[in-house]
Parts: sequence; C-alpha cells; structure tokens
Amino acid sequence: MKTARRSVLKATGLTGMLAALGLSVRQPAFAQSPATQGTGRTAGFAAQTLGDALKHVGGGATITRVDSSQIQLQAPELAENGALVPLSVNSLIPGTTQITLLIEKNPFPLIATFTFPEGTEPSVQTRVKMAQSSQVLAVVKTTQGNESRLYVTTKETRVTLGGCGA
Amino acid sequence: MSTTSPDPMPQPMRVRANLVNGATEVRVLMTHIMETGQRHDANGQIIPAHYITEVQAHHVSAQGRSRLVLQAQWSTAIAQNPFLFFKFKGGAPGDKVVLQWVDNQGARRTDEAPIR
Repeated sequence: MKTARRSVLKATGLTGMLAALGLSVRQPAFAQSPATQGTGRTAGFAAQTLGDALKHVGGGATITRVDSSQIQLQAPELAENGALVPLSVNSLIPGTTQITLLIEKNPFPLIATFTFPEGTEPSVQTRVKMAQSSQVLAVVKTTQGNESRLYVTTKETRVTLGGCGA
Repeated sequence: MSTTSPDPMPQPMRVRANLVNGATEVRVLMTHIMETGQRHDANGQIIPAHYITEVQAHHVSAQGRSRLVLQAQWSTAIAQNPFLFFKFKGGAPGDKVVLQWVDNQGARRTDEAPIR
C-alpha cells in the first residue's frame, strides 16, 4: 500500500514539493536569519553606488585596504562573457568571519555576503554577472571577541560582453 | 532565457562533498534562473526579479548532529545556475552536507550529499 502511494506521489512530483517545503525527514532547520524571517535583507543590496554599498557593509567603520598577501582575490583580467565571471576569494587574515563581494559598476554593487562559522575556511568560489568592465572588491570582516575589523582588496576585470541584461 | 510561463518547481542542486587532507570540500551547482529584474520581454515589460536570496549549508554528522558551515546572502548578480565552492575542517565518510536555498518568491530547495 505504502509503495503504491509513494510511487503515485513520485509521479505527481509531490514528494519533491514536500521536500522543497522542508518537510522531509530530519533536515536541519533553516537557521534563523533576517532573510528567512522576511524582516528585510541587508539594506546594502539596494544601494546603487559603491560608496553606499560599502557604507552598509562596513556600518561606517574604516575599511583597510590590503594586498594579495592578505586577501587572495582571483578575478579574470578579461571576461568574455559578463554573465558568467568566476570569482574566488581566500582570506589569509586570522579571525575572518565574513567575505563580501562587490562590483563597482554594477547597477547594484553589493553582490553577495558569505559568512563562515568557526571551522569553515574563509574561502569561497562562485560566478557573478558583471555589467561592464569594473573593479571587483572583496571585503573581509574579522571578528576577535567583540572587535570587528574590515579589510578590502580589489581587482580590475575587463568585460567584453556585459552580463546584466538588456 | 526569458519565460512568461509559470515558474517550474525548484530544481535539485548537485552537491559533491569530498574529504581532502582533513577538510571537506563542497561543490554545489544549483539550477536557478537568477533573473535580475532588469530585462524586458518581447512586449517591453520588465521580467520580474527571481533569484536565490539566501543559501545555507550544514554538516550533519553520522550521529545526526547538525552544525551550520556556511551562510550566504545573494543578490541578482550571482550568475544563473549558481556555482559555489567552499570548504570546512573535519567531516568524515558517513557524514553528509545539506544545502538549502530560498529565493525571493518564497521557493525553497534542500539537497544533500554524503561526504566521500
């Protein structure tokens, strides 16, 4: 009986839908965060200038510029396709808890924030859309006790075909 | 890549978790249109933004203990069919990594992979 019902569910895709609703067996609850609580994401995502975006990332605190000996930011020198630009960031700064990616000339410069709990390497690779040739920025946040510090490194990437859509 | 048909159900992610020198390396390929909300369709109408806003990854031990290993907030500028690579210390064969995403239209997806 159970098998028949399960196969019917599979056929109609309900199993997948239930899973997507998080109702499958013993999955970790989606940890509480502003995004999932719908109380609003970081306002920085609405910022339309790099300066505004950085203000939200940093909360007004000083952001120290560092070079590749501290933050290894890999971005292509030339991106043929702005819709698919691979980026890689690895922070060598002790106490790194967060890496934020920004693209200076995108319509909304704040691209993503990655938060690393204890035990996770402060390192991430992903692919982004770039509207046009621009500076790519990686901001690293370190937390030691109550103190947070911010560091940034940048790389220039040229784009031949912009990727944000027409 | 524009579409005016109703959005399909969230598609599964491909997750790979490999133990390398004491650290678990996780590679994820998600299927998602990541529509920016800046494109127009053939009638000149804006195609609404549709994008993954948040991602979480948990390491679940063989004993069932779960800990958060990554959290990310994304904008529309993450590329379509997002790729993600990260790594965390520890993990053992028999454990698993669980990935979850939610998008701005409320759709969710959870997928997992065993640590090999």
